[in-house]
Amino acid sequence: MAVNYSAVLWNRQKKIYDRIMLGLIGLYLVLFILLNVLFFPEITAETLIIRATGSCAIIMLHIILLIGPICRLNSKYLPILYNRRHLGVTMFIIALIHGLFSMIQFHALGDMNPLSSLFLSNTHYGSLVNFPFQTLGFFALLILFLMAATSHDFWLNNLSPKIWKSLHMLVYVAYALLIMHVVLGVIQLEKSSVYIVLLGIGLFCVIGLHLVAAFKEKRVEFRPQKDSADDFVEVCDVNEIDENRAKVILVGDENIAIFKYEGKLSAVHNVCKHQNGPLGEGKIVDGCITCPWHGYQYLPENGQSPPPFKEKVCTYDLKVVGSKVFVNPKPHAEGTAVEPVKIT
Amino acid sequence: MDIVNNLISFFLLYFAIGFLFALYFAFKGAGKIDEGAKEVTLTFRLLIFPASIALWPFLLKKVMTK
Repeated sequence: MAVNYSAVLWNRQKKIYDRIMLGLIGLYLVLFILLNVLFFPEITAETLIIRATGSCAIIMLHIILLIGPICRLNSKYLPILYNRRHLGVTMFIIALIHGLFSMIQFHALGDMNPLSSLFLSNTHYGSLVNFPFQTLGFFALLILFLMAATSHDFWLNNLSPKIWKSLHMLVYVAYALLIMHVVLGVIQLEKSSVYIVLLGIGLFCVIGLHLVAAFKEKRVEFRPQKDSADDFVEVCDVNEIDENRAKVILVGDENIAIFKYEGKLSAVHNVCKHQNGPLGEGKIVDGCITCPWHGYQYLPENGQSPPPFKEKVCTYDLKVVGSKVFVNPKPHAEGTAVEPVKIT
Repeated sequence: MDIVNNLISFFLLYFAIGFLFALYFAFKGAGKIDEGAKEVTLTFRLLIFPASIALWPFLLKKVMTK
């Protein structure tokens, strides 16, 4: 939500988030280095940096991938989602350090171009066990670069949300490449199976939580579209909706969030214009529907972002009969004012 | 081996052209396609620089159609 773009829209929460993140990263790196120096005194500084940054980046990637489903399962974790892009960019920088040191250590000291050396020094592309695993890391790093470089809202607005989202869904391709990168690297260079076991636990958590969160989303109530587009569809009892919160319902293809606030009800499209976040999982803050993902805001009575911002979502007609809430699934144009329904 | 070296040369050429384009785009082109990027800080311009290198064909098309 910007009129003129800023490099970073800092606020107090973001600063606290970043301090905690950087503190934990620093703590991990220091502990990793100390333990390695203690148990493997023959280790070189370059190898130590490669291992510390590589392990830190893969742990961070797991955390990044787990944040989404965890927040879908329990909204109290949403604050860790708000600043996920800082976590992603930091993870890329750490992965880049890992990649650069690996290139210097393994490919920059010969007479071959480092990039050629990366792809040609090991040509066992037909072998699973001896596969040149560093190439997988290289392609994963390229994807992470694209994601980090386009993480600013300027790119979201100018690439279009659809293209931007598709680009950022490549994180799962990068994750698969990195899992193979680590597994093959450990098989070829390590004797201990501890890393494989830890990676297996991480993979299990990522897949498991995504499946559980997807199952929960499938349980959003569904009503079939009636024959006449003007027909209202019964949604729920007024008392089922918490104050400043929403009831989400699918009517035919319409994904609708009905918000209850200040003795009134308003209905808007459930998909945020920013990154398709679920508005109905957010709440009313300072009189505005606030997206749980990145805090984009909309006025409940007209679906418009408060001035000077320009985002708009569709609105819907509501009525209350007795204590039952009904919605007309025919959407009004984005940003159309609809008189809120008063409830007693 | 030749295929790999040719692909690497293409990759380097792509990024070299991208770098030159990004110099123009970050300081002028971005403001042409988005009003919000006209009066921005140097930090913002540096922030959009890397993606401008990577996405230059797409951005060039966008700037030319504006």
